[in-house]
Amino acid sequence: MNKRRSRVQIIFDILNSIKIKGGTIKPTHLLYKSNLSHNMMNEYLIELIGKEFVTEHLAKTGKMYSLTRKGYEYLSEYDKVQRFMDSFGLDEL
Amino acid sequence: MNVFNCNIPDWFMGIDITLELLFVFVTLAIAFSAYKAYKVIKQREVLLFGIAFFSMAIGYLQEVIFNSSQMFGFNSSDLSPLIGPVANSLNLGFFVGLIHMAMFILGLSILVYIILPKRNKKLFGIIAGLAFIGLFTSGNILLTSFLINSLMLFALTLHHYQLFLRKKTESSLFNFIGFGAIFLGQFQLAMSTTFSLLYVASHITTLFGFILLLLNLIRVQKK
Repeated sequence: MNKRRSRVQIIFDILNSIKIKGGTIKPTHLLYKSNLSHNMMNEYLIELIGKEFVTEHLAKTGKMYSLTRKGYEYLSEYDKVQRFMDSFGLDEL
Repeated sequence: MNVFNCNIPDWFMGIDITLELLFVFVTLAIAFSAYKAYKVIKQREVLLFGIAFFSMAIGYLQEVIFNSSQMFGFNSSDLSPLIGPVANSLNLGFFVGLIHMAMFILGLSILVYIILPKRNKKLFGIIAGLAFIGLFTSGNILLTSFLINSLMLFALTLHHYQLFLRKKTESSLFNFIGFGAIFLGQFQLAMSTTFSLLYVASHITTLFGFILLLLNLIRVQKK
Protein backbone atom coordinates (compact mmCIF):
# COMPACT_ATOMS: atom_id res chain seq x y z
CA MET A 1 0.00 0.00 0.00
CA ASN A 2 1.34 3.45 -0.91
CA LYS A 3 1.80 5.89 1.94
CA ARG A 4 0.20 9.34 1.62
CA ARG A 5 2.86 11.80 0.50
CA SER A 6 3.99 14.27 3.13
CA ARG A 7 4.13 18.02 2.42
CA VAL A 8 7.90 17.85 2.24
CA GLN A 9 7.74 14.89 -0.14
CA ILE A 10 5.39 16.84 -2.43
CA ILE A 11 7.75 19.83 -2.42
CA PHE A 12 10.61 17.49 -3.29
CA ASP A 13 8.57 15.93 -6.12
CA ILE A 14 7.76 19.37 -7.59
CA LEU A 15 11.36 20.59 -7.42
CA ASN A 16 12.69 17.30 -8.73
CA SER A 17 10.24 17.35 -11.65
CA ILE A 18 11.61 20.77 -12.65
CA LYS A 19 15.19 19.53 -12.25
CA ILE A 20 14.56 16.46 -14.42
CA LYS A 21 13.20 18.72 -17.15
CA GLY A 22 16.50 20.61 -17.19
CA GLY A 23 15.59 23.29 -14.64
CA THR A 24 12.60 24.79 -16.48
CA ILE A 25 9.13 23.33 -16.93
CA LYS A 26 5.69 24.22 -18.33
CA PRO A 27 2.78 24.31 -15.82
CA THR A 28 0.95 21.50 -17.64
CA HIS A 29 4.00 19.22 -17.45
CA LEU A 30 4.49 20.07 -13.81
CA LEU A 31 0.85 19.30 -13.06
CA TYR A 32 1.23 15.90 -14.68
CA LYS A 33 4.58 15.11 -13.08
CA SER A 34 3.71 16.26 -9.56
CA ASN A 35 0.46 14.29 -9.51
CA LEU A 36 -1.52 17.06 -7.79
CA SER A 37 -4.78 18.86 -8.43
CA HIS A 38 -4.56 22.23 -10.20
CA ASN A 39 -5.45 24.15 -7.02
CA MET A 40 -3.01 22.22 -4.85
CA MET A 41 -0.21 22.72 -7.33
CA ASN A 42 -0.84 26.46 -7.41
CA GLU A 43 -0.78 26.61 -3.62
CA TYR A 44 2.56 24.81 -3.53
CA LEU A 45 3.97 26.98 -6.31
CA ILE A 46 3.03 30.18 -4.46
CA GLU A 47 4.89 28.83 -1.44
CA LEU A 48 7.93 27.76 -3.46
CA ILE A 49 8.11 31.11 -5.25
CA GLY A 50 7.83 32.85 -1.87
CA LYS A 51 10.71 30.74 -0.55
CA GLU A 52 12.70 31.59 -3.71
CA PHE A 53 13.06 27.93 -4.69
CA VAL A 54 11.24 28.54 -7.97
CA THR A 55 10.73 31.54 -10.27
CA GLU A 56 7.83 32.15 -12.65
CA HIS A 57 8.48 33.81 -16.01
CA LEU A 58 6.91 34.24 -19.42
CA ALA A 59 8.51 32.59 -22.43
CA LYS A 60 7.40 32.52 -26.08
CA THR A 61 5.48 29.30 -25.39
CA GLY A 62 3.76 30.72 -22.30
CA LYS A 63 4.22 30.60 -18.56
CA MET A 64 7.28 28.65 -17.31
CA TYR A 65 8.68 27.70 -13.90
CA SER A 66 12.42 27.54 -13.25
CA LEU A 67 14.45 26.15 -10.40
CA THR A 68 16.60 28.73 -8.61
CA ARG A 69 20.01 28.10 -7.03
CA LYS A 70 18.26 27.93 -3.66
CA GLY A 71 15.95 25.29 -5.11
CA TYR A 72 18.88 23.21 -6.35
CA GLU A 73 20.53 23.55 -2.92
CA TYR A 74 17.36 22.35 -1.19
CA LEU A 75 17.20 19.34 -3.52
CA SER A 76 20.80 18.49 -2.71
CA GLU A 77 20.10 18.79 1.05
CA TYR A 78 16.99 16.66 0.66
CA ASP A 79 18.98 14.04 -1.20
CA LYS A 80 21.48 13.91 1.67
CA VAL A 81 18.64 13.57 4.18
CA GLN A 82 17.13 10.70 2.16
CA ARG A 83 20.50 8.94 2.20
CA PHE A 84 20.75 9.48 5.97
CA MET A 85 17.28 8.02 6.48
CA ASP A 86 18.04 5.13 4.16
CA SER A 87 21.36 4.47 5.92
CA PHE A 88 19.77 4.16 9.36
CA GLY A 89 16.58 2.41 8.24
CA LEU A 90 14.43 5.47 9.03
CA ASP A 91 12.84 5.41 5.59
CA GLU A 92 11.20 2.09 6.51
CA LEU A 93 9.36 3.51 9.55
CA MET B 1 25.97 3.05 47.77
CA ASN B 2 28.17 2.46 44.78
CA VAL B 3 26.19 1.79 41.64
CA PHE B 4 29.24 0.87 39.60
CA ASN B 5 30.87 -2.31 40.69
CA CYS B 6 32.25 -3.64 37.40
CA ASN B 7 35.52 -5.49 37.63
CA ILE B 8 37.88 -3.26 35.65
CA PRO B 9 41.40 -4.61 35.02
CA ASP B 10 44.01 -2.04 36.16
CA TRP B 11 45.77 -2.01 32.76
CA PHE B 12 42.51 -1.14 31.01
CA MET B 13 41.78 1.94 33.14
CA GLY B 14 42.16 4.98 30.95
CA ILE B 15 41.72 2.96 27.76
CA ASP B 16 38.07 2.46 28.70
CA ILE B 17 37.65 6.22 29.14
CA THR B 18 39.19 6.88 25.69
CA LEU B 19 36.81 4.37 24.11
CA GLU B 20 33.83 5.86 25.94
CA LEU B 21 34.83 9.29 24.62
CA LEU B 22 34.72 7.77 21.12
CA PHE B 23 31.20 6.49 21.87
CA VAL B 24 30.24 10.03 22.92
CA PHE B 25 31.65 11.35 19.63
CA VAL B 26 29.81 8.82 17.43
CA THR B 27 26.46 9.16 19.23
CA LEU B 28 26.72 12.98 19.14
CA ALA B 29 27.60 12.92 15.42
CA ILE B 30 24.54 10.77 14.67
CA ALA B 31 22.33 12.99 16.87
CA PHE B 32 23.60 16.14 15.14
CA SER B 33 23.06 14.67 11.65
CA ALA B 34 19.54 13.58 12.60
CA TYR B 35 18.76 17.09 13.84
CA LYS B 36 20.07 18.57 10.58
CA ALA B 37 17.88 16.12 8.64
CA TYR B 38 14.89 17.03 10.79
CA LYS B 39 15.37 20.71 9.97
CA VAL B 40 14.98 19.86 6.26
CA ILE B 41 12.13 17.33 6.34
CA LYS B 42 10.40 18.05 9.68
CA GLN B 43 9.66 14.39 10.30
CA ARG B 44 8.98 13.60 13.97
CA GLU B 45 10.68 10.17 13.89
CA VAL B 46 13.93 11.72 12.67
CA LEU B 47 13.87 14.22 15.54
CA LEU B 48 13.19 11.40 18.03
CA PHE B 49 16.05 9.38 16.51
CA GLY B 50 18.35 12.38 17.13
CA ILE B 51 17.08 12.88 20.69
CA ALA B 52 17.66 9.16 21.38
CA PHE B 53 21.31 9.33 20.28
CA PHE B 54 21.81 12.64 22.11
CA SER B 55 20.46 11.04 25.26
CA MET B 56 22.88 8.12 24.82
CA ALA B 57 25.74 10.58 24.28
CA ILE B 58 24.92 12.28 27.60
CA GLY B 59 24.80 8.82 29.18
CA TYR B 60 28.27 7.94 27.88
CA LEU B 61 29.58 11.34 28.96
CA GLN B 62 28.41 10.62 32.51
CA GLU B 63 30.26 7.30 32.32
CA VAL B 64 33.42 9.13 31.24
CA ILE B 65 33.04 11.57 34.17
CA PHE B 66 32.44 8.74 36.62
CA ASN B 67 35.32 6.55 35.39
CA SER B 68 37.69 9.55 35.26
CA SER B 69 36.82 10.46 38.84
CA GLN B 70 37.56 6.86 39.85
CA MET B 71 40.84 6.79 37.95
CA PHE B 72 42.19 10.12 39.15
CA GLY B 73 40.90 9.59 42.68
CA PHE B 74 38.62 12.61 42.44
CA ASN B 75 36.43 13.01 45.46
CA SER B 76 33.32 15.11 45.73
CA SER B 77 34.87 16.84 48.75
CA ASP B 78 37.54 18.21 46.34
CA LEU B 79 34.88 20.32 44.64
CA SER B 80 34.99 23.27 47.02
CA PRO B 81 34.68 23.75 50.76
CA LEU B 82 31.17 24.99 50.14
CA ILE B 83 29.62 22.37 47.84
CA GLY B 84 31.98 19.48 48.68
CA PRO B 85 30.13 18.38 51.84
CA VAL B 86 26.77 18.73 50.06
CA ALA B 87 28.02 16.63 47.14
CA ASN B 88 29.38 14.10 49.60
CA SER B 89 26.13 13.81 51.48
CA LEU B 90 24.26 13.32 48.21
CA ASN B 91 26.84 10.75 47.06
CA LEU B 92 27.82 12.39 43.79
CA GLY B 93 29.14 9.16 42.25
CA PHE B 94 25.80 7.50 42.82
CA PHE B 95 23.96 10.30 41.05
CA VAL B 96 26.38 10.48 38.12
CA GLY B 97 25.94 6.71 37.71
CA LEU B 98 22.19 7.03 37.97
CA ILE B 99 22.07 9.79 35.31
CA HIS B 100 24.20 7.61 33.03
CA MET B 101 21.79 4.68 33.35
CA ALA B 102 18.67 6.85 33.07
CA MET B 103 19.88 8.68 29.94
CA PHE B 104 20.94 5.45 28.27
CA ILE B 105 17.61 3.77 29.05
CA LEU B 106 15.72 6.86 27.86
CA GLY B 107 17.65 6.87 24.56
CA LEU B 108 17.04 3.17 23.95
CA SER B 109 13.35 3.51 24.92
CA ILE B 110 12.95 6.18 22.23
CA LEU B 111 14.73 4.01 19.64
CA VAL B 112 12.50 1.03 20.50
CA TYR B 113 9.42 3.27 20.38
CA ILE B 114 10.14 4.57 16.88
CA ILE B 115 10.50 1.08 15.40
CA LEU B 116 6.99 0.11 16.56
CA PRO B 117 4.45 -0.23 13.73
CA LYS B 118 1.98 2.03 15.58
CA ARG B 119 3.15 4.88 17.78
CA ASN B 120 1.41 6.97 20.40
CA LYS B 121 2.34 8.67 23.67
CA LYS B 122 0.78 5.89 25.77
CA LEU B 123 2.98 3.25 24.17
CA PHE B 124 6.09 5.30 24.79
CA GLY B 125 4.96 5.78 28.40
CA ILE B 126 4.59 2.03 28.79
CA ILE B 127 8.05 1.24 27.33
CA ALA B 128 9.93 3.93 29.25
CA GLY B 129 7.79 3.43 32.37
CA LEU B 130 8.44 -0.32 32.53
CA ALA B 131 12.17 0.23 31.97
CA PHE B 132 12.43 2.87 34.71
CA ILE B 133 10.23 0.98 37.18
CA GLY B 134 12.40 -2.09 36.58
CA LEU B 135 15.52 -0.01 37.18
CA PHE B 136 14.44 1.81 40.32
CA THR B 137 12.79 -1.13 42.06
CA SER B 138 15.74 -3.44 41.50
CA GLY B 139 18.03 -4.61 44.28
CA ASN B 140 20.98 -4.59 41.89
CA ILE B 141 20.50 -1.39 39.91
CA LEU B 142 23.65 -1.77 37.81
CA LEU B 143 22.95 -5.32 36.64
CA THR B 144 19.29 -4.46 36.00
CA SER B 145 20.23 -1.46 33.85
CA PHE B 146 22.57 -3.60 31.73
CA LEU B 147 19.88 -6.25 31.33
CA ILE B 148 17.17 -3.71 30.39
CA ASN B 149 19.58 -2.13 27.87
CA SER B 150 20.42 -5.60 26.50
CA LEU B 151 16.74 -6.41 26.07
CA MET B 152 16.02 -3.18 24.17
CA LEU B 153 19.17 -3.53 22.07
CA PHE B 154 18.11 -7.07 21.23
CA ALA B 155 14.78 -5.71 19.94
CA LEU B 156 16.65 -3.12 17.86
CA THR B 157 19.01 -5.78 16.48
CA LEU B 158 16.04 -7.95 15.52
CA HIS B 159 14.39 -4.97 13.79
CA HIS B 160 17.53 -4.24 11.78
CA TYR B 161 17.89 -7.92 10.92
CA GLN B 162 14.38 -7.83 9.44
CA LEU B 163 15.25 -4.67 7.52
CA PHE B 164 18.39 -6.38 6.23
CA LEU B 165 16.37 -9.38 5.03
CA ARG B 166 13.99 -6.99 3.25
CA LYS B 167 16.67 -4.78 1.72
CA LYS B 168 20.08 -6.39 1.43
CA THR B 169 22.28 -3.30 1.29
CA GLU B 170 25.63 -2.57 2.92
CA SER B 171 24.09 0.02 5.23
CA SER B 172 21.32 -2.30 6.44
CA LEU B 173 23.98 -4.97 7.11
CA PHE B 174 26.11 -2.43 9.03
CA ASN B 175 23.06 -1.41 11.11
CA PHE B 176 22.20 -5.02 11.88
CA ILE B 177 25.76 -6.00 12.87
CA GLY B 178 26.35 -2.61 14.54
CA PHE B 179 23.31 -2.81 16.83
CA GLY B 180 24.04 -6.52 17.34
CA ALA B 181 27.56 -5.69 18.54
CA ILE B 182 26.31 -2.95 20.88
CA PHE B 183 23.76 -5.45 22.25
CA LEU B 184 26.50 -8.03 22.80
CA GLY B 185 28.64 -5.34 24.43
CA GLN B 186 25.89 -4.51 26.94
CA PHE B 187 25.37 -8.18 27.67
CA GLN B 188 29.09 -8.64 28.28
CA LEU B 189 29.00 -5.57 30.55
CA ALA B 190 26.25 -7.23 32.59
CA MET B 191 28.48 -10.28 33.03
CA SER B 192 31.57 -8.16 33.78
CA THR B 193 30.48 -7.74 37.40
CA THR B 194 32.00 -11.20 37.89
CA PHE B 195 34.53 -11.56 35.03
CA SER B 196 36.82 -8.57 34.61
CA LEU B 197 37.96 -9.49 31.09
CA LEU B 198 34.36 -9.20 29.91
CA TYR B 199 34.54 -5.48 30.74
CA VAL B 200 37.38 -5.21 28.20
CA ALA B 201 35.54 -7.41 25.68
CA SER B 202 32.40 -5.31 26.13
CA HIS B 203 34.22 -2.08 25.25
CA ILE B 204 35.87 -3.63 22.19
CA THR B 205 32.61 -5.17 20.94
CA THR B 206 30.76 -1.88 21.48
CA LEU B 207 33.54 0.00 19.67
CA PHE B 208 33.13 -2.33 16.70
CA GLY B 209 29.38 -1.64 16.69
CA PHE B 210 29.80 2.12 16.81
CA ILE B 211 32.48 2.03 14.07
CA LEU B 212 29.92 0.37 11.78
CA LEU B 213 27.31 3.04 12.60
CA LEU B 214 29.95 5.73 12.04
CA LEU B 215 30.84 4.21 8.65
CA ASN B 216 27.16 4.48 7.70
CA LEU B 217 27.20 8.13 8.69
CA ILE B 218 30.43 8.86 6.81
CA ARG B 219 29.00 7.29 3.67
CA VAL B 220 25.98 9.62 3.86
CA GLN B 221 28.24 12.68 4.09
CA LYS B 222 30.67 11.49 1.38
CA LYS B 223 28.29 10.79 -1.53
